[in-house]
Amino acid sequence: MRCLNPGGPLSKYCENGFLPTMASMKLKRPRAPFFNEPWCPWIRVHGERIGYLYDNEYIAPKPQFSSELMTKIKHAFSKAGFYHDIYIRKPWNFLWKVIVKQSGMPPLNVNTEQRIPVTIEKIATDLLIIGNEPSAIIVANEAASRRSLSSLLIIDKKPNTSNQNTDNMAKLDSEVYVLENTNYLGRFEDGYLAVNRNKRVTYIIEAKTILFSTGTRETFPIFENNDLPGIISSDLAEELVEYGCIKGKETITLLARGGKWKRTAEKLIKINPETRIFYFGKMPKDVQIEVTNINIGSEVIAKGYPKVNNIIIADKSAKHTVPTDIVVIAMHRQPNIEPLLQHGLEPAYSESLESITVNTLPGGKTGIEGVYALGEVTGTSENDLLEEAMIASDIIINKKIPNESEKYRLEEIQKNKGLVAFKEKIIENKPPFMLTTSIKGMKFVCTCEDLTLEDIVISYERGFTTLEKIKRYSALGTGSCQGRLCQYNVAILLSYLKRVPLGSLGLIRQRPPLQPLEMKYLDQAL
Amino acid sequence: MKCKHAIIGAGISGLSVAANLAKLIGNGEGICVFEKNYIGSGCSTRNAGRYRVHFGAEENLKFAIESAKYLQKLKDENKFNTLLAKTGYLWLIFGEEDYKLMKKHNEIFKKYGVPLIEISPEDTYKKYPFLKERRELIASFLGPQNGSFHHDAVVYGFWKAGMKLGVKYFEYAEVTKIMVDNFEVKAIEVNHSTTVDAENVILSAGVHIKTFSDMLGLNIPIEPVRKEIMVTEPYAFAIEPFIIDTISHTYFSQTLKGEIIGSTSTGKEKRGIVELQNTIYWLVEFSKRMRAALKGSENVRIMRVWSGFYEMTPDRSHIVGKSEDWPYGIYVIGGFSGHGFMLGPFAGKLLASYIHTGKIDELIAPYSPDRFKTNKLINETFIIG
Repeated sequence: MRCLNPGGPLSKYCENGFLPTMASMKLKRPRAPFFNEPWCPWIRVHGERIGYLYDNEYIAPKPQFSSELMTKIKHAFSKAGFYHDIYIRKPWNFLWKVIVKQSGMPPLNVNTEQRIPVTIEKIATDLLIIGNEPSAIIVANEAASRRSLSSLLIIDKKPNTSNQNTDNMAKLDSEVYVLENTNYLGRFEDGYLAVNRNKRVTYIIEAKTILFSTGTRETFPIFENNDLPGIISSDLAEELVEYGCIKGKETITLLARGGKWKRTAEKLIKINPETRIFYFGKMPKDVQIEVTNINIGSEVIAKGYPKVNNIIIADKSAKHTVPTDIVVIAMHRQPNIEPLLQHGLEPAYSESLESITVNTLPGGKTGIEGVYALGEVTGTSENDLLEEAMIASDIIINKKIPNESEKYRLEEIQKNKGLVAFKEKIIENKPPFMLTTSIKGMKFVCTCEDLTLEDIVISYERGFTTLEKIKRYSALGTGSCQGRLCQYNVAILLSYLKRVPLGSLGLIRQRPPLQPLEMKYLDQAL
Repeated sequence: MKCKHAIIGAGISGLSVAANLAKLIGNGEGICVFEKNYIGSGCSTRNAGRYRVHFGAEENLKFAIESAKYLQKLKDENKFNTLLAKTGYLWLIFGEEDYKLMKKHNEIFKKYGVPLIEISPEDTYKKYPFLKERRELIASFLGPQNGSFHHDAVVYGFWKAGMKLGVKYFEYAEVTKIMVDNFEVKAIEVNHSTTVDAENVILSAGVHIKTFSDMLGLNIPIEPVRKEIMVTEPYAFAIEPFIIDTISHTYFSQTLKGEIIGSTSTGKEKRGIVELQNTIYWLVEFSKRMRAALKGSENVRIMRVWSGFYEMTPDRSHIVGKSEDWPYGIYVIGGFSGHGFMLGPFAGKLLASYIHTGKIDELIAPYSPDRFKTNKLINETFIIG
């Protein structure tokens, strides 16, 4: 989704300093995108009409959010299941009209839009590859070089590389049939759906075999006021730096931990050497960058309204109060498993990623005929990415039978994923994205529906002990992101807090389209 | 293990039977609900969450009027909010034939005290400015007696109410056999392994009623039809009534949270107990029809599609009770032909009373499964979707 051209909507929005793009539904809190993705709820812009930061038109945001005090008051009276409380339930027959008017949602634009021409294109292929990981590129290159089968690669953005070694390997061959800036929307009974908004083309794809290599994204962190505009994911931060949307004049604070933080740190320091970095947990060796080391078990509090202007980081030894314009989160990665779950794969827990991924077998197999999954999305370690993709592409495309050494390597790579059964896994250690020691307060777990950590615990304690039940009771995961920001966190947090297996909690069923799709991309003749 | 009353299926009908039976008895001892998946995972949490009183057949009209009253009381009876709101239904009528038919039905609605309000095209567009203006519109008919509720809340209300009285619920417990001896129900088998002694078996398993019917030769004429449905991103609440765009077989409205929920009938719906999947074909058809009906729909983003079943019967009316041809102890509640959630709770209440007292309420008597052999059909024509 190329909306970051200079002068484009997202860059203009950043120039204005990360102001809120929308007000939230229940509490009317000011919100701004944490990700640059069509499914990110706050990519919607509430202005004179509703726009999207990936549209070619820029609409000045004018969201009607409430004062901070008002949001706190509303929050006190609207915990999970509040409409069952007797003082809401009894007068419900007329009270509903009052409550409905409080919504922060923008009005439907009824001014008739000019109809833009959109094409529906049908493609048939042997091998469909979804993703922009090096693994996807390697398989696509191999398929294109062999003419034994037809193949199609769908990429939504530029390939994401963190390892110097993979950079060269991840260059797309010119022979590859690729749809760039195209979003995969899921599997339907009568085909796979994808859309390219820039070109105004909707694709209906028929494929015999499908391979997913969809990478990972930043996990939404849990701390006080984590929903404030100006708090962004490492993914969004890197894109904004790359396209010159963050100029370097802003004060930047980076909260870092784990795998990919170094790359984000280097990019930020390049444009602003004053970037303040806090590293959580045991410091890795050979770090040339200046960081402040913070213990795990710390408390983070964001302050400011309607956008962040301070971040407080406190552990047992020190308390840091940092004035800041932007807070970048590079702490934990969540595999983009939504397309895989929607295709019918079962979840699994990866000890190496400390994340929820899908169950796979060595060599990218999934147990489902014609469906493969490779790369970081499945928990493959960075060092194994290339080798896994090379061996697997030979097997999948050339139908090669792996020799003993290849079989051994695939087994080793599989072992390194550290997959454990979802059914049995109980989260023993404090989740790395949980940057607080208390459950109460404005610690948002689901920003789409304004649910806090306390709301989730309340729901669980009231007997709604699976994610599907919590969803139906509290509306968790029913917003634009359809669970991406919340559901994995909730499963891990509840497993940790209540000492129950992830399997007892389950996940929420993933349904297409895998990101919200404008009806105008569909109302054409088939 | 022993359960005097074994209810198969934890959908709205089964849950209503369980809670109401427990209420009549005074406690839930001996009442067990067996659910193959999780509570409310079937069509009970897949519907658009609407209720109406207006039906073509007089039995259904009478039933639905009482049913609506019961739905409105539920939040206080179960002490669990149903989020019910009298948001109304709006039928958009195109074509002289349909207009005459609607007026004819309205005479009967007037007789029963639930008249529809006829609105001119001009006033329709004034009152509902989100509707796209079409020359072919002859009139719209508003039914303010109808409304919406939150299906999950109604399901959980019955679940919690039953639980408080001691009803037992078993999830991931598929009933795999019903054991009959001497023309009497003796037991059920769960998950191919556990035997549960039972006296009464209530078939409230939605489309799977057909499976049990085939198993025991009960001749319950239910044909499942798969329907698709979608929900959009939320907007400020504006589309209050349930809009029925009769010319395109499309219907849509807004939930109280603001999502536009809607569906359309393409005529190409799959029949039988098929996988609950979605089709691009339906998605495209639906978007086309919405463009003709709703202003600004071009940029409205569809967030999620899913599917469920209509359980169709030959006369499109529900089947409740028992047959003289069946083994003693088997009851059925199903075949709601697309209006199951709005009528299920009340039907469940009446069935619970029948089971407890042996006396059949005159409102529920016409829905006996025996009507198909005596040909006392209740022909319902007011089907939406």
